Amino acid sequence: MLAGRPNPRLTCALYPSSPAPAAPPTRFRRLDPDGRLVPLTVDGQALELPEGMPLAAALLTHGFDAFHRSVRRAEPRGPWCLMGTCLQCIATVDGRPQVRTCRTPVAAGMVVTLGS
Amino acid sequence: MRPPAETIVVGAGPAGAAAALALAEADLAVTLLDDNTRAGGQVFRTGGRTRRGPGWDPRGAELRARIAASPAIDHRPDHEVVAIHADRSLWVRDADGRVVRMAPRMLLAAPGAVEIAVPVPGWQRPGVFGLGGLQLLLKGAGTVPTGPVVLAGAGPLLYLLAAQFRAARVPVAAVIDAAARPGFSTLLGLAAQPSLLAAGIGHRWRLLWGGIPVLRRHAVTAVDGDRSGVTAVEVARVDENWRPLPGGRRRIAARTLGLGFGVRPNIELTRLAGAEHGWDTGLGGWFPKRTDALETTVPGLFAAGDGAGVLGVDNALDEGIIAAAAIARRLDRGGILDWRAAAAAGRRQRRRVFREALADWSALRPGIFAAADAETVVCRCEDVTAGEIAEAVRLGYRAPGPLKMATRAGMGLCQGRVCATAVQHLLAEAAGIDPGAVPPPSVRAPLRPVPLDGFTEMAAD
Repeated sequence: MLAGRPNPRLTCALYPSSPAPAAPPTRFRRLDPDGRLVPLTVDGQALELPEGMPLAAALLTHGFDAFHRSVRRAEPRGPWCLMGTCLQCIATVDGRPQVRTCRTPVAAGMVVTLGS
Repeated sequence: MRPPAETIVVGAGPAGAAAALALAEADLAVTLLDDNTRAGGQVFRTGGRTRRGPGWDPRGAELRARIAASPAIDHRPDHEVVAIHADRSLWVRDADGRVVRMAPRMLLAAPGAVEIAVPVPGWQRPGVFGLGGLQLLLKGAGTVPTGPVVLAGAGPLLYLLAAQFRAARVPVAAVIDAAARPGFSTLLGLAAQPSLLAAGIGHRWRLLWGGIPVLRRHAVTAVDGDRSGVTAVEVARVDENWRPLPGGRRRIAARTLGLGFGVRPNIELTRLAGAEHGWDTGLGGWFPKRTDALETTVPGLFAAGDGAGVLGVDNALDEGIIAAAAIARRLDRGGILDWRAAAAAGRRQRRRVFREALADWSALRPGIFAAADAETVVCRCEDVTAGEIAEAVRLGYRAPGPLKMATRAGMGLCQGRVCATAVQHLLAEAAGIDPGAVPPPSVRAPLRPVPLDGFTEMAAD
Protein backbone atom coordinates (compact mmCIF):
# COMPACT_ATOMS: atom_id res chain seq x y z
CA MET A 1 0.00 0.00 0.00
CA LEU A 2 1.55 3.24 1.17
CA ALA A 3 4.78 1.41 1.88
CA GLY A 4 4.99 0.57 -1.82
CA ARG A 5 4.92 4.22 -2.85
CA PRO A 6 8.32 5.34 -4.17
CA ASN A 7 10.10 7.89 -2.05
CA PRO A 8 9.24 11.18 -3.85
CA ARG A 9 12.70 12.62 -3.23
CA LEU A 10 14.39 9.55 -4.65
CA THR A 11 12.12 9.55 -7.67
CA CYS A 12 12.97 13.15 -8.43
CA ALA A 13 16.68 12.57 -7.94
CA LEU A 14 16.77 9.53 -10.20
CA TYR A 15 14.47 10.88 -12.87
CA PRO A 16 14.95 14.63 -12.94
CA SER A 17 12.58 15.01 -15.86
CA SER A 18 9.70 13.18 -14.19
CA PRO A 19 6.79 15.37 -13.08
CA ALA A 20 6.60 16.36 -9.44
CA PRO A 21 4.73 13.67 -7.50
CA ALA A 22 1.09 14.41 -6.67
CA ALA A 23 0.22 15.18 -3.05
CA PRO A 24 -0.18 11.90 -1.15
CA PRO A 25 -3.79 11.07 -0.36
CA THR A 26 -3.26 10.63 3.38
CA ARG A 27 -1.61 12.95 5.90
CA PHE A 28 0.14 10.10 7.70
CA ARG A 29 1.92 6.86 6.90
CA ARG A 30 3.20 3.94 8.95
CA LEU A 31 6.93 3.46 9.39
CA ASP A 32 6.61 -0.32 9.78
CA PRO A 33 4.26 -1.82 7.24
CA ASP A 34 4.36 -5.21 8.97
CA GLY A 35 1.92 -6.46 11.59
CA ARG A 36 -1.33 -8.41 11.45
CA LEU A 37 -4.31 -6.66 9.88
CA VAL A 38 -7.76 -7.22 11.37
CA PRO A 39 -11.16 -6.30 9.90
CA LEU A 40 -13.28 -3.56 11.43
CA THR A 41 -15.94 -1.09 10.37
CA VAL A 42 -15.46 2.67 10.29
CA ASP A 43 -18.53 4.73 9.42
CA GLY A 44 -20.02 1.68 7.72
CA GLN A 45 -16.90 1.15 5.61
CA ALA A 46 -15.06 -2.20 5.96
CA LEU A 47 -11.36 -1.64 6.67
CA GLU A 48 -8.37 -3.70 7.65
CA LEU A 49 -6.18 -2.05 10.26
CA PRO A 50 -3.09 -3.23 12.17
CA GLU A 51 -4.10 -5.06 15.33
CA GLY A 52 -3.08 -3.32 18.56
CA MET A 53 -2.17 -0.03 16.89
CA PRO A 54 -3.71 3.03 18.55
CA LEU A 55 -7.01 3.51 16.70
CA ALA A 56 -6.40 7.26 16.22
CA ALA A 57 -3.07 6.60 14.49
CA ALA A 58 -4.54 3.83 12.35
CA LEU A 59 -7.38 6.10 11.21
CA LEU A 60 -4.95 8.95 10.43
CA THR A 61 -2.96 6.64 8.13
CA HIS A 62 -6.21 5.81 6.32
CA GLY A 63 -7.02 9.39 5.46
CA PHE A 64 -9.42 10.17 8.31
CA ASP A 65 -8.35 13.63 9.47
CA ALA A 66 -11.49 14.78 11.31
CA PHE A 67 -12.92 12.55 14.05
CA HIS A 68 -15.79 14.60 15.39
CA ARG A 69 -17.53 17.95 14.99
CA SER A 70 -17.20 20.71 17.55
CA VAL A 71 -20.24 21.43 19.71
CA ARG A 72 -21.00 25.02 18.79
CA ARG A 73 -19.52 25.72 15.38
CA ALA A 74 -19.91 22.14 14.12
CA GLU A 75 -16.40 22.37 12.66
CA PRO A 76 -14.42 19.22 11.85
CA ARG A 77 -11.87 18.40 14.55
CA GLY A 78 -9.12 15.83 14.73
CA PRO A 79 -6.66 14.41 17.26
CA TRP A 80 -4.33 16.90 18.95
CA CYS A 81 -2.47 15.58 22.01
CA LEU A 82 -2.46 11.79 21.40
CA MET A 83 -2.06 11.17 25.15
CA GLY A 84 -5.64 11.10 26.38
CA THR A 85 -5.78 14.67 27.63
CA CYS A 86 -7.54 16.78 24.99
CA LEU A 87 -10.45 14.51 23.99
CA GLN A 88 -10.34 15.86 20.43
CA CYS A 89 -9.99 12.34 19.00
CA ILE A 90 -13.27 11.01 20.42
CA ALA A 91 -15.47 8.63 18.45
CA THR A 92 -18.21 6.10 19.16
CA VAL A 93 -16.61 2.66 19.48
CA ASP A 94 -18.81 -0.45 19.78
CA GLY A 95 -21.71 1.71 20.92
CA ARG A 96 -19.76 3.54 23.63
CA PRO A 97 -19.75 7.29 22.99
CA GLN A 98 -16.82 9.68 23.54
CA VAL A 99 -14.13 7.01 23.44
CA ARG A 100 -10.59 8.42 23.18
CA THR A 101 -9.33 6.70 20.05
CA CYS A 102 -5.70 7.60 20.86
CA ARG A 103 -5.87 5.24 23.83
CA THR A 104 -7.90 2.50 22.14
CA PRO A 105 -5.97 -0.32 20.46
CA VAL A 106 -7.36 -1.61 17.17
CA ALA A 107 -9.21 -4.91 17.69
CA ALA A 108 -10.93 -7.25 15.25
CA GLY A 109 -14.63 -6.57 14.68
CA MET A 110 -14.66 -3.07 16.15
CA VAL A 111 -17.45 -0.81 14.96
CA VAL A 112 -16.30 2.80 14.89
CA THR A 113 -18.54 5.76 14.16
CA LEU A 114 -16.89 9.14 13.67
CA GLY A 115 -18.99 12.20 14.27
CA SER A 116 -17.51 14.03 11.32
CA MET B 1 -6.60 -9.17 42.31
CA ARG B 2 -4.53 -8.00 45.29
CA PRO B 3 -6.05 -5.39 47.60
CA PRO B 4 -4.44 -1.95 47.16
CA ALA B 5 -1.14 -1.55 49.04
CA GLU B 6 -0.39 0.90 51.84
CA THR B 7 1.44 3.06 49.32
CA ILE B 8 -0.08 4.05 46.02
CA VAL B 9 1.87 5.66 43.19
CA VAL B 10 -0.19 7.41 40.52
CA GLY B 11 1.56 7.43 37.16
CA ALA B 12 4.05 4.89 35.81
CA GLY B 13 6.24 7.36 33.94
CA PRO B 14 9.89 7.81 34.93
CA ALA B 15 9.13 9.40 38.34
CA GLY B 16 6.41 6.95 39.37
CA ALA B 17 8.24 3.91 38.02
CA ALA B 18 11.52 4.88 39.73
CA ALA B 19 9.63 5.44 42.98
CA ALA B 20 7.81 2.10 42.78
CA LEU B 21 11.05 0.23 42.04
CA ALA B 22 12.83 1.96 44.94
CA LEU B 23 9.95 1.20 47.33
CA ALA B 24 10.05 -2.42 46.23
CA GLU B 25 13.77 -2.47 47.03
CA ALA B 26 12.92 -1.30 50.53
CA ASP B 27 10.53 -4.27 50.80
CA LEU B 28 7.44 -2.10 50.67
CA ALA B 29 4.43 -3.21 48.67
CA VAL B 30 3.23 -0.59 46.22
CA THR B 31 0.24 -0.28 43.93
CA LEU B 32 1.26 1.49 40.73
CA LEU B 33 -1.70 3.01 38.92
CA ASP B 34 -1.30 4.21 35.35
CA ASP B 35 -3.79 5.45 32.80
CA ASN B 36 -1.63 4.17 29.93
CA THR B 37 -1.62 0.59 28.74
CA ARG B 38 2.15 0.27 29.28
CA ALA B 39 4.51 1.69 31.88
CA GLY B 40 7.09 4.30 30.91
CA GLY B 41 4.92 7.38 30.58
CA GLN B 42 5.00 9.56 27.49
CA VAL B 43 8.77 9.93 27.34
CA PHE B 44 9.42 6.17 27.12
CA ARG B 45 6.37 5.36 25.02
CA THR B 46 6.92 2.64 22.45
CA GLY B 47 3.69 0.66 21.88
CA GLY B 48 3.01 -0.34 18.31
CA ARG B 49 6.61 -0.13 17.10
CA THR B 50 7.94 -3.39 15.81
CA ARG B 51 11.42 -1.99 15.25
CA ARG B 52 13.76 0.31 17.07
CA GLY B 53 13.52 3.61 15.29
CA PRO B 54 13.64 7.32 16.03
CA GLY B 55 12.57 8.03 19.58
CA TRP B 56 13.28 4.55 20.91
CA ASP B 57 14.86 4.71 24.38
CA PRO B 58 16.35 1.57 26.03
CA ARG B 59 15.64 3.00 29.49
CA GLY B 60 11.91 2.51 28.91
CA ALA B 61 12.28 -1.17 28.09
CA GLU B 62 14.45 -1.63 31.18
CA LEU B 63 11.90 0.11 33.46
CA ARG B 64 9.08 -2.04 32.07
CA ALA B 65 11.05 -5.26 32.54
CA ARG B 66 11.99 -4.40 36.12
CA ILE B 67 8.39 -3.47 37.03
CA ALA B 68 7.08 -6.70 35.55
CA ALA B 69 9.71 -8.73 37.45
CA SER B 70 9.05 -7.13 40.83
CA PRO B 71 6.66 -9.08 43.08
CA ALA B 72 6.26 -6.09 45.42
CA ILE B 73 4.80 -3.91 42.64
CA ASP B 74 1.13 -4.31 41.76
CA HIS B 75 1.17 -2.53 38.40
CA ARG B 76 -2.31 -1.68 37.17
CA PRO B 77 -2.35 -0.23 33.67
CA ASP B 78 -5.44 1.45 32.20
CA HIS B 79 -6.48 2.73 35.63
CA GLU B 80 -7.46 6.38 35.87
CA VAL B 81 -7.81 8.36 39.08
CA VAL B 82 -11.15 10.15 38.76
CA ALA B 83 -11.19 11.76 42.21
CA ILE B 84 -8.99 12.37 45.23
CA HIS B 85 -10.47 13.42 48.55
CA ALA B 86 -9.16 15.44 51.49
CA ASP B 87 -8.29 12.21 53.38
CA ARG B 88 -6.09 11.14 50.42
CA SER B 89 -8.58 8.43 49.41
CA LEU B 90 -9.02 7.89 45.69
CA TRP B 91 -11.73 6.91 43.27
CA VAL B 92 -10.11 4.93 40.52
CA ARG B 93 -11.66 3.83 37.23
CA ASP B 94 -10.30 0.32 36.69
CA ALA B 95 -9.59 -1.49 33.43
CA ASP B 96 -13.14 -2.91 33.40
CA GLY B 97 -14.72 0.53 33.65
CA ARG B 98 -15.73 0.19 37.30
CA VAL B 99 -14.94 2.92 39.81
CA VAL B 100 -13.28 1.56 42.96
CA ARG B 101 -12.24 3.30 46.18
CA MET B 102 -8.67 3.11 47.49
CA ALA B 103 -7.40 4.62 50.73
CA PRO B 104 -3.57 4.57 50.87
CA ARG B 105 -1.50 5.64 53.85
CA MET B 106 1.05 7.24 51.56
CA LEU B 107 0.30 8.61 48.11
CA LEU B 108 2.74 9.72 45.44
CA ALA B 109 1.39 11.76 42.55
CA ALA B 110 3.57 11.39 39.45
CA PRO B 111 1.11 12.50 36.78
CA GLY B 112 3.64 14.02 34.38
CA ALA B 113 3.10 17.02 32.18
CA VAL B 114 0.66 18.21 29.56
CA GLU B 115 1.38 20.36 26.51
CA ILE B 116 0.99 24.10 26.60
CA ALA B 117 -1.37 25.10 23.81
CA VAL B 118 -1.06 28.52 22.18
CA PRO B 119 -4.13 29.31 20.07
CA VAL B 120 -3.62 31.02 16.71
CA PRO B 121 -6.28 31.65 14.04
CA GLY B 122 -7.13 28.30 12.45
CA TRP B 123 -5.24 26.09 14.93
CA GLN B 124 -8.35 23.98 15.47
CA ARG B 125 -8.13 22.61 11.93
CA PRO B 126 -7.49 18.88 11.43
CA GLY B 127 -3.79 18.38 10.73
CA VAL B 128 -2.66 20.66 13.56
CA PHE B 129 -1.17 18.73 16.47
CA GLY B 130 0.72 19.43 19.63
CA LEU B 131 4.45 18.88 19.06
CA GLY B 132 4.34 16.21 21.76
CA GLY B 133 1.31 14.67 20.06
CA LEU B 134 3.19 14.35 16.77
CA GLN B 135 6.12 12.79 18.61
CA LEU B 136 3.80 10.31 20.35
CA LEU B 137 2.44 9.27 16.93
CA LEU B 138 6.03 8.54 15.93
CA LYS B 139 7.18 6.87 19.15
CA GLY B 140 3.97 5.16 20.21
CA ALA B 141 2.41 4.20 16.89
CA GLY B 142 5.20 4.30 14.30
CA THR B 143 3.11 6.83 12.41
CA VAL B 144 4.62 9.86 10.68
CA PRO B 145 3.27 12.67 8.52
CA THR B 146 3.64 12.30 4.77
CA GLY B 147 4.46 15.99 4.74
CA PRO B 148 5.20 18.70 4.16
CA VAL B 149 5.38 19.36 7.90
CA VAL B 150 5.98 22.62 9.70
CA LEU B 151 7.16 22.37 13.30
CA ALA B 152 6.65 25.54 15.32
CA GLY B 153 6.88 26.74 18.89
CA ALA B 154 9.87 26.83 21.20
CA GLY B 155 12.09 24.57 23.24
CA PRO B 156 14.24 21.52 22.71
CA LEU B 157 11.45 19.23 21.48
CA LEU B 158 11.23 21.37 18.31
CA TYR B 159 14.76 20.36 17.29
CA LEU B 160 14.58 16.81 18.61
CA LEU B 161 11.38 16.06 16.69
CA ALA B 162 12.68 17.74 13.51
CA ALA B 163 15.82 15.56 13.69
CA GLN B 164 13.71 12.43 14.34
CA PHE B 165 11.46 13.28 11.38
CA ARG B 166 14.50 13.80 9.18
CA ALA B 167 15.80 10.38 10.23
CA ALA B 168 12.40 8.90 9.30
CA ARG B 169 12.51 10.67 5.90
CA VAL B 170 9.58 12.93 6.71
CA PRO B 171 9.71 16.12 4.61
CA VAL B 172 10.03 18.98 7.13
CA ALA B 173 9.34 22.29 5.33
CA ALA B 174 10.52 24.52 8.17
CA VAL B 175 11.21 24.78 11.89
CA ILE B 176 9.76 27.98 13.37
CA ASP B 177 11.29 28.88 16.73
CA ALA B 178 9.95 31.81 18.78
CA ALA B 179 13.15 31.91 20.84
CA ALA B 180 16.28 33.69 19.71
CA ARG B 181 19.54 31.82 19.07
CA PRO B 182 20.88 30.83 22.49
CA GLY B 183 23.42 33.42 23.64
CA PHE B 184 26.81 32.80 25.21
CA SER B 185 25.56 32.84 28.81
CA THR B 186 22.71 30.45 27.91
CA LEU B 187 25.16 28.04 26.25
CA LEU B 188 27.41 28.27 29.28
CA GLY B 189 24.49 27.30 31.52
CA LEU B 190 23.44 24.49 29.17
CA ALA B 191 27.02 23.21 29.28
CA ALA B 192 26.33 22.18 32.89
CA GLN B 193 24.77 19.08 31.27
CA PRO B 194 27.31 18.47 28.47
CA SER B 195 25.58 15.42 27.01
CA LEU B 196 22.24 17.19 26.65
CA LEU B 197 23.87 20.27 25.13
CA ALA B 198 25.80 18.05 22.72
CA ALA B 199 22.59 16.24 21.76
CA GLY B 200 20.87 19.57 21.10
CA ILE B 201 23.72 20.85 18.95
CA GLY B 202 23.67 17.50 17.13
CA HIS B 203 19.97 17.91 16.28
CA ARG B 204 20.63 21.44 15.04
CA TRP B 205 23.47 20.25 12.80
CA ARG B 206 21.37 17.45 11.40
CA LEU B 207 18.77 20.03 10.34
CA LEU B 208 21.46 22.17 8.74
CA TRP B 209 22.88 19.10 6.97
CA GLY B 210 19.41 18.09 5.83
CA GLY B 211 18.70 21.55 4.44
CA ILE B 212 15.76 22.15 6.78
CA PRO B 213 15.30 25.90 7.26
CA VAL B 214 15.12 27.13 10.85
CA LEU B 215 13.50 30.52 11.45
CA ARG B 216 14.36 31.87 14.88
CA ARG B 217 12.39 34.69 16.52
CA HIS B 218 9.43 33.70 14.32
CA ALA B 219 6.03 32.27 15.12
CA VAL B 220 3.02 30.85 13.28
CA THR B 221 0.34 33.55 13.26
CA ALA B 222 -2.37 31.76 11.27
CA VAL B 223 -3.23 28.34 9.87
CA ASP B 224 -4.89 28.22 6.45
CA GLY B 225 -6.85 25.24 5.27
CA ASP B 226 -9.68 23.72 3.34
CA ARG B 227 -12.38 21.24 4.36
CA SER B 228 -9.88 18.44 4.93
CA GLY B 229 -7.56 20.48 7.13
CA VAL B 230 -4.30 22.43 7.00
CA THR B 231 -2.89 23.61 3.67
CA ALA B 232 -0.47 26.36 4.73
CA VAL B 233 0.76 28.36 7.68
CA GLU B 234 1.42 32.08 7.98
CA VAL B 235 4.63 33.04 9.77
CA ALA B 236 5.77 36.36 11.25
CA ARG B 237 8.74 37.74 13.17
CA VAL B 238 8.25 38.14 16.91
CA ASP B 239 9.79 40.56 19.41
CA GLU B 240 11.81 39.46 22.43
CA ASN B 241 8.58 38.91 24.37
CA TRP B 242 7.43 36.67 21.44
CA ARG B 243 4.72 39.16 20.38
CA PRO B 244 4.24 38.95 16.58
CA LEU B 245 5.56 42.08 14.83
CA PRO B 246 3.37 43.82 12.23
CA GLY B 247 4.07 43.30 8.52
CA GLY B 248 6.39 40.86 6.81
CA ARG B 249 4.13 37.79 6.86
CA ARG B 250 5.24 34.80 4.85
CA ARG B 251 3.33 31.67 3.89
CA ILE B 252 4.68 28.13 4.01
CA ALA B 253 2.76 25.26 2.42
CA ALA B 254 2.11 22.49 4.95
CA ARG B 255 -0.25 19.55 5.37
CA THR B 256 0.69 18.96 8.98
CA LEU B 257 1.60 21.46 11.66
CA GLY B 258 3.14 20.60 15.02
CA LEU B 259 2.65 23.49 17.42
CA GLY B 260 4.22 23.31 20.87
CA PHE B 261 5.57 25.70 23.46
CA GLY B 262 6.77 23.19 26.01
CA VAL B 263 4.83 21.37 28.69
CA ARG B 264 3.40 22.29 32.07
CA PRO B 265 2.88 20.21 35.22
CA ASN B 266 -0.38 18.30 35.27
CA ILE B 267 -1.65 19.63 38.61
CA GLU B 268 -5.20 18.30 38.65
CA LEU B 269 -4.51 15.65 41.34
CA THR B 270 -2.61 17.93 43.71
CA ARG B 271 -5.13 20.74 43.12
CA LEU B 272 -8.12 18.48 43.78
CA ALA B 273 -6.40 17.19 46.95
CA GLY B 274 -6.21 20.78 48.19
CA ALA B 275 -2.43 21.22 48.08
CA GLU B 276 -0.95 24.72 47.82
CA HIS B 277 0.45 25.72 44.44
CA GLY B 278 2.86 28.34 43.18
CA TRP B 279 3.64 29.85 39.77
CA ASP B 280 7.00 29.66 38.02
CA THR B 281 7.38 29.91 34.24
CA GLY B 282 10.73 28.12 34.57
CA LEU B 283 8.90 25.06 35.95
CA GLY B 284 6.24 25.22 33.22
CA GLY B 285 3.63 27.20 35.16
CA TRP B 286 1.64 26.23 38.24
CA PHE B 287 3.31 23.63 40.45
CA PRO B 288 2.54 22.04 43.85
CA LYS B 289 4.70 23.44 46.64
CA ARG B 290 6.87 20.71 48.20
CA THR B 291 9.33 20.12 51.01
CA ASP B 292 12.88 18.84 50.32
CA ALA B 293 11.39 15.36 50.83
CA LEU B 294 8.91 16.17 47.99
CA GLU B 295 5.85 16.14 50.26
CA THR B 296 3.11 18.59 49.28
CA THR B 297 1.24 20.73 51.80
CA VAL B 298 -1.23 17.83 52.16
CA PRO B 299 0.37 15.42 54.71
CA GLY B 300 1.12 12.02 53.17
CA LEU B 301 0.73 13.30 49.61
CA PHE B 302 4.03 13.44 47.74
CA ALA B 303 4.64 14.69 44.21
CA ALA B 304 7.53 13.82 41.89
CA GLY B 305 8.58 14.35 38.31
CA ASP B 306 7.36 16.77 35.66
CA GLY B 307 3.93 16.84 37.32
CA ALA B 308 5.50 18.90 40.09
CA GLY B 309 7.70 21.10 37.90
CA VAL B 310 8.95 20.42 34.40
CA LEU B 311 12.61 19.52 34.85
CA GLY B 312 12.94 16.57 32.49
CA VAL B 313 13.29 12.81 32.57
CA ASP B 314 16.61 12.55 34.46
CA ASN B 315 15.24 14.74 37.22
CA ALA B 316 12.01 12.71 37.31
CA LEU B 317 13.97 9.46 37.82
CA ASP B 318 15.87 11.10 40.70
CA GLU B 319 12.75 12.61 42.28
CA GLY B 320 11.09 9.20 42.24
CA ILE B 321 13.93 7.87 44.41
CA ILE B 322 13.85 10.88 46.76
CA ALA B 323 10.09 10.55 47.27
CA ALA B 324 10.36 6.78 47.76
CA ALA B 325 13.01 7.28 50.45
CA ALA B 326 10.81 9.81 52.25
CA ILE B 327 7.81 7.48 52.08
CA ALA B 328 9.93 4.55 53.34
CA ARG B 329 11.11 6.63 56.30
CA ARG B 330 7.50 7.52 57.08
CA LEU B 331 6.56 3.83 57.02
CA ASP B 332 9.49 2.94 59.31
CA ARG B 333 11.49 1.35 56.51
CA GLY B 334 14.00 4.21 56.33
CA GLY B 335 17.74 3.87 55.95
CA ILE B 336 17.87 1.50 52.99
CA LEU B 337 17.16 4.16 50.41
CA ASP B 338 18.73 7.13 52.15
CA TRP B 339 22.14 7.06 50.46
CA ARG B 340 20.54 6.71 47.02
CA ALA B 341 18.18 9.56 47.82
CA ALA B 342 21.10 11.74 48.94
CA ALA B 343 22.94 11.06 45.67
CA ALA B 344 19.78 11.85 43.71
CA ALA B 345 19.30 15.08 45.65
CA GLY B 346 22.87 16.11 44.80
CA ARG B 347 22.34 15.49 41.09
CA ARG B 348 19.05 17.37 41.27
CA GLN B 349 20.83 20.39 42.71
CA ARG B 350 23.55 20.35 40.03
CA ARG B 351 20.93 20.22 37.29
CA ARG B 352 19.49 23.55 38.38
CA VAL B 353 21.97 25.65 36.36
CA PHE B 354 21.06 23.78 33.18
CA ARG B 355 17.33 24.10 33.72
CA GLU B 356 17.57 27.82 34.43
CA ALA B 357 19.52 28.35 31.21
CA LEU B 358 16.97 26.24 29.32
CA ALA B 359 14.04 28.21 30.77
CA ASP B 360 15.82 31.48 30.04
CA TRP B 361 16.12 30.45 26.39
CA SER B 362 12.81 28.73 25.68
CA ALA B 363 10.25 29.06 28.51
CA LEU B 364 6.89 30.46 27.40
CA ARG B 365 6.72 34.26 27.01
CA PRO B 366 3.33 35.95 27.24
CA GLY B 367 3.60 38.01 24.01
CA ILE B 368 2.93 34.87 21.95
CA PHE B 369 -0.75 34.94 22.97
CA ALA B 370 -1.15 38.14 20.93
CA ALA B 371 -1.20 35.85 17.88
CA ALA B 372 -4.85 35.07 18.70
CA ASP B 373 -7.36 37.52 17.19
CA ALA B 374 -10.93 38.07 18.42
CA GLU B 375 -12.24 35.24 16.21
CA THR B 376 -9.64 32.68 17.31
CA VAL B 377 -11.04 29.61 19.05
CA VAL B 378 -9.33 29.30 22.44
CA CYS B 379 -11.39 26.57 24.12
CA ARG B 380 -11.69 23.85 21.49
CA CYS B 381 -14.23 21.79 23.44
CA GLU B 382 -16.77 24.59 23.73
CA ASP B 383 -15.71 26.78 20.76
CA VAL B 384 -15.06 29.86 22.92
CA THR B 385 -13.15 32.65 21.14
CA ALA B 386 -10.50 35.05 22.41
CA GLY B 387 -12.93 37.91 21.72
CA GLU B 388 -15.57 36.35 23.99
CA ILE B 389 -13.01 35.95 26.76
CA ALA B 390 -11.82 39.56 26.42
CA GLU B 391 -15.43 40.77 26.50
CA ALA B 392 -16.19 38.76 29.66
CA VAL B 393 -13.07 40.17 31.35
CA ARG B 394 -14.21 43.68 30.37
CA LEU B 395 -17.55 42.92 32.07
CA GLY B 396 -15.68 42.07 35.28
CA TYR B 397 -15.11 38.30 35.21
CA ARG B 398 -11.49 38.37 36.36
CA ALA B 399 -10.70 34.85 37.54
CA PRO B 400 -10.78 31.52 35.64
CA GLY B 401 -13.77 30.27 37.69
CA PRO B 402 -16.18 33.15 36.99
CA LEU B 403 -14.80 33.41 33.44
CA LYS B 404 -15.68 29.76 32.88
CA MET B 405 -19.24 30.38 34.13
CA ALA B 406 -19.57 33.40 31.83
CA THR B 407 -18.07 31.96 28.64
CA ARG B 408 -17.96 28.15 29.09
CA ALA B 409 -14.18 28.26 28.40
CA GLY B 410 -12.78 25.16 30.11
CA MET B 411 -16.20 23.62 30.73
CA GLY B 412 -16.02 21.03 27.97
CA LEU B 413 -14.88 17.44 27.78
CA CYS B 414 -11.19 18.15 28.46
CA GLN B 415 -12.09 20.26 31.52
CA GLY B 416 -9.79 23.10 30.47
CA ARG B 417 -6.63 21.02 30.26
CA VAL B 418 -5.83 22.33 26.79
CA CYS B 419 -6.90 25.96 27.14
CA ALA B 420 -5.96 26.71 30.78
CA THR B 421 -2.67 28.47 30.02
CA ALA B 422 -4.18 30.45 27.14
CA VAL B 423 -7.21 31.53 29.18
CA GLN B 424 -4.89 32.60 32.01
CA HIS B 425 -2.73 34.74 29.71
CA LEU B 426 -5.64 36.24 27.76
CA LEU B 427 -7.34 37.09 31.06
CA ALA B 428 -4.14 38.70 32.38
CA GLU B 429 -3.69 40.68 29.16
CA ALA B 430 -7.29 41.95 29.11
CA ALA B 431 -7.27 42.76 32.83
CA GLY B 432 -3.82 44.34 32.70
CA ILE B 433 -2.36 42.08 35.40
CA ASP B 434 0.59 39.71 35.62
CA PRO B 435 -0.22 36.14 34.39
CA GLY B 436 1.24 34.78 37.65
CA ALA B 437 -1.37 36.76 39.59
CA VAL B 438 -4.23 34.82 37.97
CA PRO B 439 -5.32 31.97 40.27
CA PRO B 440 -5.09 28.43 38.84
CA PRO B 441 -8.40 27.09 37.50
CA SER B 442 -10.57 25.05 39.85
CA VAL B 443 -10.59 21.28 39.47
CA ARG B 444 -13.61 19.06 40.04
CA ALA B 445 -14.28 15.35 40.16
CA PRO B 446 -14.67 13.31 38.06
CA LEU B 447 -11.34 14.21 36.47
CA ARG B 448 -12.21 12.20 33.34
CA PRO B 449 -15.57 11.30 31.81
CA VAL B 450 -16.84 8.10 33.47
CA PRO B 451 -20.12 6.40 32.52
CA LEU B 452 -22.54 6.50 35.46
CA ASP B 453 -22.80 2.69 35.57
CA GLY B 454 -19.12 2.65 36.57
CA PHE B 455 -20.19 3.93 39.97
CA THR B 456 -22.98 1.43 40.65
CA GLU B 457 -20.83 -1.20 42.43
CA MET B 458 -19.09 1.34 44.62
CA ALA B 459 -22.46 2.85 45.55
CA ALA B 460 -23.69 -0.62 46.55
CA ASP B 461 -20.77 -1.12 48.99
